[in-house]
Amino acid sequence: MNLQAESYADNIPHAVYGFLITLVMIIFGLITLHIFNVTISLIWLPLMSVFLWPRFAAPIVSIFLIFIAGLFQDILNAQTLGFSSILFLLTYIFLRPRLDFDNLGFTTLWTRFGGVIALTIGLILLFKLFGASVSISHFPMQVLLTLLLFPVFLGFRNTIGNIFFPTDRL
Amino acid sequence: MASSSIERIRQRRLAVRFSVLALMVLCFVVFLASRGNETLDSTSSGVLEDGVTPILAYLSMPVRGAENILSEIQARNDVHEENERLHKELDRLKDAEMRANALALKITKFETLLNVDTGAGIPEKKIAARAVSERDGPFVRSALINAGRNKGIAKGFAVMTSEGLYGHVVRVGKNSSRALKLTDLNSRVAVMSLRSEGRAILTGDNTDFPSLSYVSNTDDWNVGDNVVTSGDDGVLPRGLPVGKVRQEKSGALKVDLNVDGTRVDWVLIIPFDKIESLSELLDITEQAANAEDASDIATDVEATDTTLGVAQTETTTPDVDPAGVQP
Repeated sequence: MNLQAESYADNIPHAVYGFLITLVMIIFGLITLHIFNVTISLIWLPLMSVFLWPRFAAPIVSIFLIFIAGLFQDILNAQTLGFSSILFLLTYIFLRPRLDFDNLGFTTLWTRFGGVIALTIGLILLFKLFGASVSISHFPMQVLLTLLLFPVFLGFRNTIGNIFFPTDRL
Repeated sequence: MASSSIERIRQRRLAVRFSVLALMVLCFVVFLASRGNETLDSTSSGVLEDGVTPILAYLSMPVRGAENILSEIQARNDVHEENERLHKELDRLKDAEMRANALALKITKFETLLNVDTGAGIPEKKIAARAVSERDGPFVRSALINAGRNKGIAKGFAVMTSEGLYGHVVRVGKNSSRALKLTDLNSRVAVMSLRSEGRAILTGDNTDFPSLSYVSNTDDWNVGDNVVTSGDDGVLPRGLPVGKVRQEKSGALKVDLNVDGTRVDWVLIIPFDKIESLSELLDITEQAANAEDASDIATDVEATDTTLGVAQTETTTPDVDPAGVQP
């Protein structure tokens, strides 16, 4: 990350925009789909939004907003509070493509997001190793649907972004 | 100029690192504190769920609509066979209803005679609501329902579908409530075999087939037995259909739930006055014992009266020929 690029990274509206998109994804993720008699909930939709968090969003504000989004996700999914916050923060800090969106092709972004999901599954399986009862039967369908929705999400994110910030690169 | 800019960036990086560290610590604290802490969980969630439920109700409408259209298209293909099957089912159910009515009458008579209430009745009143969001996540299996205290729902009420028991209410907001599904890891329901009345606890384990644990006697449980709620937990009414017994290769007893993974849209919530505490249970037992004592005393008095030759009060007309009585 060069210094000039980093000096841009103080944009609070961008952080708020990322937060709002994440909230929308959390709500969309709550809608249940029934495919072939299997109940599918898209738990990774908000993660997609954190993965593609706006490039020049103010980092400290972003971190706080991501933490709050994680709490929202846990509350609305009736999960133990804090789990999603940890997951989102880890994704934001270590796995998110930073200021080099333009240099990464769409396929690379898509593949990288597949990697993020794989790491998340790994983390969940870690809980299983420690004796937690974890249901993984729905993972294949959930992963497939989430990856299929990735281009749709990217299109949605960019369209909304162009409406609110027509001159900025998100 | 350049050095001050670098310094500013360095300070910001430090602030970011500190924030990340602080928030990660906070995450772990919240994670550990909220495990099994109902108060922490329910204070924030009620308000948030109340706000999201109406949005979800609208957003899920097109999805449910599309699913309904698809299932109707599928159903149209075998409508003739379905009709025949339903006719047969109707005939069978008419007969079953007749028998059930006769049995209910008989039970009521027995209860009146014995002066007991078995508490076996499933409440007539049901609250209809929509399951706007089902969660079958890696850790939790629950559903968000678009009715709460405004419809008279309270914690512990049974949630049913037309097929059978779906779960029970664990959290209630003003206009939303959270139902814990039978398959969830934290779900425990007292059940019995309808055939043998053998008791067990239906234990959710995040799989589609919850286990039967604390089985009173394994001989009481056969594969294919109908499983219903026993009402022993004092939380759910007795007799709600749950599923059928199945056995794993390992020999473990599981239950094939009547409500499987298929689409659940409308649910029925059954209000039930649960027994809140052991002291309440003891009060009820005490009252029953007092009533029994009172009846024993009455019997003793009657017996004493008979011994002393005191005329017993007759409720029936004395067997006297009016014609024989002359002034």
